[in-house]
Amino acid sequence: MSTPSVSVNRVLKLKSSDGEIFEVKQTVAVQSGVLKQMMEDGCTEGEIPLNNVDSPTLAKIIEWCNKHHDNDVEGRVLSEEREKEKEKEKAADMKKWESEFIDALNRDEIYFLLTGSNYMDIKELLDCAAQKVADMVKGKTPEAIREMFNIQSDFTEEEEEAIRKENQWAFD
Amino acid sequence: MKFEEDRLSELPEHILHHIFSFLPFKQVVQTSMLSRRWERVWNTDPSLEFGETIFELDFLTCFFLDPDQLEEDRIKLKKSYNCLEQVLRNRPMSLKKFTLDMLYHDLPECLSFIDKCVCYAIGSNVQELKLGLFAYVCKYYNLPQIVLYANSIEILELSYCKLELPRNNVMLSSLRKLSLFQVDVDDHMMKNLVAGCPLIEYLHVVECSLSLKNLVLFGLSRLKEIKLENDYTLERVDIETLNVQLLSFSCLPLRLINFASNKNLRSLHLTLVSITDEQFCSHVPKLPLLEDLRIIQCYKLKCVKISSPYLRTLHCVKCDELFELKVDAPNLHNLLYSGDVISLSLNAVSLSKVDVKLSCRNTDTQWYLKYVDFLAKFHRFSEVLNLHISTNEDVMVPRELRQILPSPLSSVKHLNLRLLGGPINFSIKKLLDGLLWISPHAKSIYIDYHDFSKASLKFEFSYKKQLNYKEETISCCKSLPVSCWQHCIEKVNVEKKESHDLKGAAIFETIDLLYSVGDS
Repeated sequence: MSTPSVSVNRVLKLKSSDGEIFEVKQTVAVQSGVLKQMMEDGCTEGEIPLNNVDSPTLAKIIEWCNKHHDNDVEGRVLSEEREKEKEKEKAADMKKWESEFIDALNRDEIYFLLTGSNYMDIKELLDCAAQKVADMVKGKTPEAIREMFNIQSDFTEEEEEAIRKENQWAFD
Repeated sequence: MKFEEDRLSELPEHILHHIFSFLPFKQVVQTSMLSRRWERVWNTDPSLEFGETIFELDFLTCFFLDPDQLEEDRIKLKKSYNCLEQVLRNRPMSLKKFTLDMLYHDLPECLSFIDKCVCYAIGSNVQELKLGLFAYVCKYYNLPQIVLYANSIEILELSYCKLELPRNNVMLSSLRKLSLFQVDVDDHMMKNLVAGCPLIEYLHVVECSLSLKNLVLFGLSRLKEIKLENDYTLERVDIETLNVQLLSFSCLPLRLINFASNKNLRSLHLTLVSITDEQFCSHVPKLPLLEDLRIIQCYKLKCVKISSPYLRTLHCVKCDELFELKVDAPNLHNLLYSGDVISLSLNAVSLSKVDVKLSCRNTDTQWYLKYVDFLAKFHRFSEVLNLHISTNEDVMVPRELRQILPSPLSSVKHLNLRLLGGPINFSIKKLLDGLLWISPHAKSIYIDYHDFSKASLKFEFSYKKQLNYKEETISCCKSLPVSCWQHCIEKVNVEKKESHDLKGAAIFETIDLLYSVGDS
């Protein structure tokens, strides 16, 4: 992976679909595949319009990226095993933060986060949000899923029965 | 709540596929009846994964212990196969990735099921095919030959398969990664296989120890990484490729080994390989770009000389017969040494991190002399030394020797000590005294017990600038080039972290003692 020419202090100006401007450090913005590519191509002057992301979602995305931006520099050189332990601790803390972050959101916010992180190409955030939706679906019958997410069936009763029969094994 | 929009169904298809990847397979199939939209999403999912959980059986018990149960389970299993086959029949052939992780039984219905899965995957022009089979007894699935002509496959992972020489030459013209685990493949087939993969970049051969004796790789200019592990029948490895960057050999009873012509090799990892000094000498010096060299438990190595301009990382771990190590590597950054003390010669001006794990057999005076000599080799090069010792072995240099020997690490600024094994059986004060003799004027000493208590202590020292020799000519400092720590430490800062405070009181007392010594 080549690192783009990033300077620590430079900021990008991101413009949400509803016209709000957000300032993000370049070192934080590299987590987005799209912004990273733009930096490599040198076209990050001025405001960068993100037409698919509204301001509340963009604020959440930036909060995520800021948290995941690794900025603590260990002063002392640690032994290899010690380093691994430190990393484990850090990963556990991060997991906790992530689940609190995602649990605090309502369903609509999660959908916007899914499309936003997909649009900006932030894989970890996309995974986290997708996992959350999967957890909501897990273990529920199709009827319960329909009710929970307000999904209207457009099958006729016969069609639905046919699908159920075809995949009978999955419903046992 | 009732009139809320259905935003989930409106999400783009590939995001819904991504959500599927976090769901059990059965549930993914179930979503196909939610609505037409969801039926379509299921039909276009580019990745299918049949994992062990689908079959819902405890195979170990059902196939070995209870014959009555066996018939019942076989029926249940048959039903699962039939249903999955039906799932595949009802689905359009469109797939990028297919994974099958299951127990392999030498039963006709099992064979036929795997065959059908493989045919479906190949018929869908799959790019990634993983057959993660597993068998308790040495039974191998005969891989259908069509797999060996599948032009679409880029990644192929096989386990518990048997590869037989096909009538025509293998043609896997897109294959980039080939991974074989417990695969029955002989020399001839292996040769044919790699010859049919002109774009191959990664080759992993693990535990293929039935009939593979010789592995010869020529040409293959895109090959970047070769890993051979636990191939117990392998006698000869001959690799002449242009661009291989990583070679990793582990547990190979090799008689003949040749990889010296891989001029672009960056990383070489040898674990439990019976390489001799002569073989080592005829290979490693011919690898001009080597950056990462790891020799682990290579029990035939006795005397190793490494002279390598780009070497950055060197691990030398538990090569029990090794008695001499000569390293000339101006770019070496990390060094890990594990074993008994040996004769060491080191020229490594860039060294920034040293890990030493000592396992000593006996600690007599001779040993301590060698130990001090060994440590002294690092003093010019590294400011940080990580020392790992077992608490049962007292590697604190005895007092008598401290009087006559110079401190080995007078320029090391940070000493990190990790105590492994059981609870400590000597006082912190004594330990610290010993460490400050090894590394006088250290800025910090970090002690870490890796027993159940997982405690750690960190000491930071500041020293007096002017030493008052005139007034207090202390006998112990007279004969030494560097005055001993008791007489020049000004202040000590102690940080203590302990997850259990079992030994809390004792440690505090010791620290109190240290404070009084340090401040006076």
